[in-house]
Amino acid sequence: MSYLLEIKGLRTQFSSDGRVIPAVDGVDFAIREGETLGIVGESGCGKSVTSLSVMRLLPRTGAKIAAGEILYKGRALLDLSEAEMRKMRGNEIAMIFQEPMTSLNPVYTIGQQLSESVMLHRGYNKQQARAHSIEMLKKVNIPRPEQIIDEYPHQLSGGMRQRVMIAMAMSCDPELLIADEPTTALDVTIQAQILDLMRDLRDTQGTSILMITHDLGVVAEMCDRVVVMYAGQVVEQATVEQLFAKPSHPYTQGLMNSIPKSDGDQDRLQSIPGNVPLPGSIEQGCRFAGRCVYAEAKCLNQSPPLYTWEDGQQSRCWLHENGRIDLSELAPHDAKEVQGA
Amino acid sequence: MSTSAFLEVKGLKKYFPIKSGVLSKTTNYVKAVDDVSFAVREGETLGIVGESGCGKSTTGRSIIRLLEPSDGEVIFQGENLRSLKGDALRRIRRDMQIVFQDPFASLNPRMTVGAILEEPLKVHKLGNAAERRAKVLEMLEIVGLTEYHYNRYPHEFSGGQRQRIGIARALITNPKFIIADEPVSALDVSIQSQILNLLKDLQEQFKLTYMFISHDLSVVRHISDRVGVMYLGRMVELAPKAGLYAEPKHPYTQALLSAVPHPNPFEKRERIILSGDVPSPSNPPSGCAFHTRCHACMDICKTARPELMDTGDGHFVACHLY
Repeated sequence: MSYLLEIKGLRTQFSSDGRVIPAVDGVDFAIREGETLGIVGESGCGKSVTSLSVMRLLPRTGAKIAAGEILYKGRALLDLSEAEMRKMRGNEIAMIFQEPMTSLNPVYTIGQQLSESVMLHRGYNKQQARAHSIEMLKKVNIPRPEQIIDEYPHQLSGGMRQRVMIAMAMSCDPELLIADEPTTALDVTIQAQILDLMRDLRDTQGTSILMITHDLGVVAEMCDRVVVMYAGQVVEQATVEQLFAKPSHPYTQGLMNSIPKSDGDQDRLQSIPGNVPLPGSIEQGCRFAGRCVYAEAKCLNQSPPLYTWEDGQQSRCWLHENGRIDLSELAPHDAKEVQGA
Repeated sequence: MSTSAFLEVKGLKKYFPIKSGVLSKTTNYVKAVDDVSFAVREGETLGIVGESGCGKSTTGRSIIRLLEPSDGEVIFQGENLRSLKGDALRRIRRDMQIVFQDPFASLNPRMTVGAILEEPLKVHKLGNAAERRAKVLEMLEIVGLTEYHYNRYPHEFSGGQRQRIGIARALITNPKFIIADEPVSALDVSIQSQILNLLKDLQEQFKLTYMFISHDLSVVRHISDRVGVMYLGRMVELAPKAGLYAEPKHPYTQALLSAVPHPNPFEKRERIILSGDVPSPSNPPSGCAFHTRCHACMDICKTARPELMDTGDGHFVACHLY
């Protein structure tokens, strides 16, 4: 089995005011070639920090990768010099950010920004780079590419800017594309266009995608496998079919029940009581225990291990201590309605 | 549910002038809301959906005159809101309140939660200091907060808790009608469901009528009785929820519904992907505003604007196909 990217025991910390906050706390996962892996979680669960760690784009002050390995085709990315890393970024590993408004430079034309990576990585001259950029704009279905290439970001709509971002990310034909909430800022009809485009590029170029999102709908449509993160840890890993058919972690189950169903009408939604904890605020036991409907005394004291089964599904929950359990057959321990906590 | 018109909006328009040149002459208008009519029934939840820039928030704000409408009538329980001024307007606003989208921007950071909740009572001269305090504490309890939160400042709260404060502030004057403008879009899914449940409970408890504005079609489906779909400042379809989601009639509604990614990997669906972007509301297309992106566009669509017509069972649609 060949992995394109392997992350082992990644620990990324932020320090502020003398306190160390473990935003990512011992994360392991791997992406196979040609695969789309989704990372799902709510705000503050560490999904974006994980992706920035892979790209080594963490802020220079305060952030530190304290432990772990990131292997890209067997090469340890964390051991590369900054110059070597620069050769990877945009060339082998490219990234699309959430905000198409703020991630393009407002004072350069679309063409100048698109040309940068091929001139740098492939040594194209200006004419070649321009021709290549027009080609890329065509690929992402931008109308009138010969004119758009000389326009500035503010002249384009949100959907068009995200297309430009994708064109830019794809321009060196990367093997791995990291997409951090690529459609969150867009309207649904535009989101559908962008997802369609990403699927197309994946199928024609064979790019592997690491898709970071909070939207389970996007996961269901785009991903082959899914990693669910909570408070800096992986709490579940599964194929997309396993995840939606039989979620094995109470948090995943809670997330699925929180979204209004598209078929049939429910009167009330099941919700997860309480709030997402601040990173580093839970020192003992399972990090989800405080919000979990199945929680027992043990959960509050001891951190559960990540159980792995033969079919590849993983779950970090004590429920599976004596063998794998089907969560849908369990009754909530105490279905107390905790409000506002 | 009574069918009498609780709130009636007739021909509502809101144009924002575009000024240019040294003399700031008005050269054009952004037609944010362009001739929208609908009615809200007592006790129901009317959902309004649409993409950014379709005028759904402007409609909500124009109704309670946070924005002054350019034209049209808003009749709330028999009174024409547009003719009201000063005290009379303030009195009627006690009955209609708004919950805003951004729980971070809509609470004054320098006021305690107690003061924020007490302010509407002071404005409307309701009760003395002790009564107001008691009312605020009661309200905190109702939305799932406690007395402990009374002296806290907004920054000490999470997004979901702030939205609870926003809801408490809207409810404290005992209104009959609540306009909820994207109340859950800034929240994480697990928190979103808590707030949606709270809104439903409150509606039952206080017999509230909601106008629920959102871009999220599944949230609107969950909470609404009837749903209106807006596009470029116009209402293109308005129908009971079941009819709208099962059998959308307007080509835009069809595309919008098919664009929503379903959290179900086992289901393969046909998708209608719209080409292009929403046109600018300062220069909307002639005729039907959607004709530039519509797959069923006919000649008449380019010239004549379709009216919102009843196609049976209270299913209104503005399209020349029907």
